[in-house]
Amino acid sequence: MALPHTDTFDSGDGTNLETHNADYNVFFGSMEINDNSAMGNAGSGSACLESGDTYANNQYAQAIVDYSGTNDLGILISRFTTSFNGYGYGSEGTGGATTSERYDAGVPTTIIADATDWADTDDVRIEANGTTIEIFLNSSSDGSTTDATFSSGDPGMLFGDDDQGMAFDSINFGNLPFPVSQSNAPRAWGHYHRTLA
Amino acid sequence: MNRIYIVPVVLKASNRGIGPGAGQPSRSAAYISDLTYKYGALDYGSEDVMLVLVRDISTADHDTLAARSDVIAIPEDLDANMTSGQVNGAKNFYDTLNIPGGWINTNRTVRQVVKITGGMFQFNQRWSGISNGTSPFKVGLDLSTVYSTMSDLNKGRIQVVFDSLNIDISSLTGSSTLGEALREFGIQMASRPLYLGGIEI
Repeated sequence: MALPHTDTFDSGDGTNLETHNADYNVFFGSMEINDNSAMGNAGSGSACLESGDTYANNQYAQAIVDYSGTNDLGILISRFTTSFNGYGYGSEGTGGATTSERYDAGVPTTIIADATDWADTDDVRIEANGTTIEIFLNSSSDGSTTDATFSSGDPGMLFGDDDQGMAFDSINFGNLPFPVSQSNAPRAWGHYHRTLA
Repeated sequence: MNRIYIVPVVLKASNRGIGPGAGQPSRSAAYISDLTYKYGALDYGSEDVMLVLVRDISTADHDTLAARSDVIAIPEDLDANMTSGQVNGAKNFYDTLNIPGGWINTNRTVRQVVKITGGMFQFNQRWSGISNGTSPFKVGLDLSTVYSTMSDLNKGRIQVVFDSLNIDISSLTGSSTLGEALREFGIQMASRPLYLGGIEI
């Protein structure tokens, strides 16, 4: 498939994510589609990568949030691997914690704390661009930090449990243009900035 | 006001762990993570210390934080030169944390010190990323370890850290120490943008 990888999850309720599209590698737990949104379906959490495409090291993961009002956990991931290494941007919605984490074998390190809580229909995005990790909420930057730990991986999704209160209504995964100039920076899916690394 | 600190890493209860990290606490900025400020953190790889920029911290909270013996508060004016007192304070603090500090002097601005420190922290981050979460100091090295005495594995790690981030290693020789490698890496990385807490330093 050509990038960007986009998906509006138009399959019947209860469809496993891999059945919906075999490009998804659900390597921990399980995920399913309900109400045309992707969500977790495993009590101990779930994780998937989009493995049907080859991603550059400078990449993004973006989604429209489907939030039902209960404090369940959804995380967009970027530059992530099946060894549970990579970067995430996650929220439990209103009143829950919203952070960006680096994962080392699944163990989190908070690299951006107290980000803005996600709400239903929010447009959320994480970019791994050189050594800059930046998160965006509705096309505005909500924080950035420098981290050189990991250089490669794929975008994907994590869910904290099977309560399904935080889901993704649609996703858009792709590569960041490099180098970026003001004239070629896409606007519709958020902002970019340039980091040499 | 936005302020930069070097603080210990603390383990905070978290639901963010996944897979082998499920249920494990999140490595977070000590003291700061107990407050409600937005912050960005750059850790020293798997060593338990972080460079942190805190957004809009109150004077009272800053004063409390700066008074702690295991915290160093970076001077607010990043473009001022380091004073002799600040140089000595930073060197003594860095010595306790396996961070090279001999390069800090009054000819450097605070911003240069922050950026070089951030660069050295990135050395340890990339080392961690290529070595399953270790650090040089967890595999038997210290700042005075000479390159020629290191194992081939650790020599290779230093080479990969430099090469993978396009940092020129040519000034280092067999008699260079790990501390000199860290310093050289940090100085070269300081020419690149450093983002913390959404702000370019």
